[in-house]
Amino acid sequence: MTTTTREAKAHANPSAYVPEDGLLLDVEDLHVEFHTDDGIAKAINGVSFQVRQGETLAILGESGSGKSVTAQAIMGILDMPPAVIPEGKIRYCGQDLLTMDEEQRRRTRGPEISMIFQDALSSLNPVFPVGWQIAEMFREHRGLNKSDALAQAIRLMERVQIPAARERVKAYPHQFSGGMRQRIMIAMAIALDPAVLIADEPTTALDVTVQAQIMALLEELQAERQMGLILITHDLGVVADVADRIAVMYTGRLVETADILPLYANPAHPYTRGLLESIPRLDQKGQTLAAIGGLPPNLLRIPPGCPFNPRCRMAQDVCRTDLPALREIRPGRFSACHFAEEVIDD
Amino acid sequence: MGTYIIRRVLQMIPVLLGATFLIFAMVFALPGDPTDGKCGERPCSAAYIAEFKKEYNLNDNLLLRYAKYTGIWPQDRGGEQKFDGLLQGNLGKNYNGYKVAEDLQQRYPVTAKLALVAIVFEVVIGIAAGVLTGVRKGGFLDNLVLVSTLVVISIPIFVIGALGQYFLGVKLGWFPVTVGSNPTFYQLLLPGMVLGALSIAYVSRLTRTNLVENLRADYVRTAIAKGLTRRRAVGLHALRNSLIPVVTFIGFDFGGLLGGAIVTERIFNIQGVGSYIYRGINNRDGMAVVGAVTVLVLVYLIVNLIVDLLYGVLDPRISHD
Repeated sequence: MTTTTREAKAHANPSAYVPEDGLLLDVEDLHVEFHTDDGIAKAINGVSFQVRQGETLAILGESGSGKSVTAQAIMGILDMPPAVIPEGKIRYCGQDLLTMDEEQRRRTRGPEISMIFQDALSSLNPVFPVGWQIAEMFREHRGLNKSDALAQAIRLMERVQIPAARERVKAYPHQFSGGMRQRIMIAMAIALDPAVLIADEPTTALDVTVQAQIMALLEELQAERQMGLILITHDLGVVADVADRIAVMYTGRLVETADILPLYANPAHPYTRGLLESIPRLDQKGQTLAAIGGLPPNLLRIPPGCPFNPRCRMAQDVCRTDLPALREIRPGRFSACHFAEEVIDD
Repeated sequence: MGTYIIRRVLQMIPVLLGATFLIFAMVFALPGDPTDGKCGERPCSAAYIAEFKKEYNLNDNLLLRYAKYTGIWPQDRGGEQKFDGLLQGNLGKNYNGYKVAEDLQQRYPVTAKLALVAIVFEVVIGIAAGVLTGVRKGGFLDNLVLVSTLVVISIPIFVIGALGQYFLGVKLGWFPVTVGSNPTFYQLLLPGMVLGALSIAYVSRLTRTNLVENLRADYVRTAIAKGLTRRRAVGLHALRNSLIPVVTFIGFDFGGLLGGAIVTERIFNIQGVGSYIYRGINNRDGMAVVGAVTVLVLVYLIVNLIVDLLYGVLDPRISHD
């Protein structure tokens, strides 16, 4: 999408105008807690990042690192309760989404920020035709009538390269393959030309060749519409070709953020290094694959000091007592490690 | 789809034959003579009894009688041997000499009306209670409905019927206490509510359970992420899926209710199929009972088939091909 149409859209919705610097999303010191019977699980502990127009940010982390919770907090689809957001700001085009009233917030979902989920089969409603589900975006947000909305749905299905879209518009989700279903999710998410698209592990449920096709499609759509794309994944391989920047998460904190190439070349956090070493490589055939020992800590009882210290080979006394802050160690490179300089030069 | 229906209809034949044979055997195994009390205070004359037994084939053994009743074996009709039974579309005459088919024609609309009233209560109250409790799980209303459905489920229907009749009919006078031979929908409100009470409880629980489960489903999260109102996400996306088993239950229940409600019809003196069967059993009128039950089995089978077909419409993942 060009800036002119984005501005035209801004006209229609005064809450959404893209600032000069293209800053779409500004997450600042976000905290999310889950109040459970066993206590308070601190899922997100002070996460800050920004997404600009046309930029792809990959959020990387293990299961339970808080990456999906971050996405759901931005979308406003967390179940509250049990989730609570005690602190933080999520600014979309300068406006804090967290202080908006629910009705205003609802109107941002779809036209401004939208989301693709991991498992397209369970994320699509099994009892409605796929075309109907895409058309629902136009009917509910734009007030289009049934046939116009369906025409738009067909157009989108063609855009995401679903063969014979016109014939398949009335088919149900279970009648599509996994890759085609994810394309339908994508069509639904981009239907109203959102400024920010969040993809939460969009290819995890798919086989490898289909993964590549879906990533290529996302990349293409993002370039075409100049969306800010947040790509959530645990798979370093998936993001390498697509992302501009990477934010690595661990126990609800960012431990490293960097542009993609420098991070791959020289990780600045032992956790990132561990993740990179655990990717199987063809030139290391026959060797034991390096893995990060241990498990992520229980979010109800995060250890004092650096949360990664029980699993870290470099851990010193200071790591067990002092929580390292995320600091800029090189221009554009941030790491939350007491020994970041040593790690990066290693 | 077409072959599925044909297959199902063919399957009905053995079920229908088996069911009618069972009821036939059971009714005629009941002790007592159907000619007892037919001739007032004194015993009937030998000639009358002989004529009666001949008319209703009571001298034949059970299998032969059943074969004649179903019309696969000829029977004596005014000196002529004729195939004259179910297969020829004849339900026969009851022991008072009236045609069973005509009796049912008169009574069936009453039972159907009562079933309809009960179903409307089930759908409206049951689903509404299920939705209200499902979206606010653990709230005051949820607990209230939980306890009251438990009470309804554990009380037998004749108690509910008698209590309803006494308090709402006699004491408060809101509803007629008994119902005449050609009842209006208003007269059937109280009996319908009593008849549907148990199913209202089941429907509300079934709706609640399914809704609670579906509210956690990924596609409801998607619906919220699409920027739909909560009302639409819950009321359309979650509810549409939650109602699939509920509609199935209601369908089968409707089939059952069309079979008449012996207890409820007796309490409120409703002249439906249920009370017809009750009277048939009391009078040892095997022909009336078997005839009525045969029709009920057929109706139940057809309603079942319709429900199964409807299931495929409600849930596109189920295919009947």
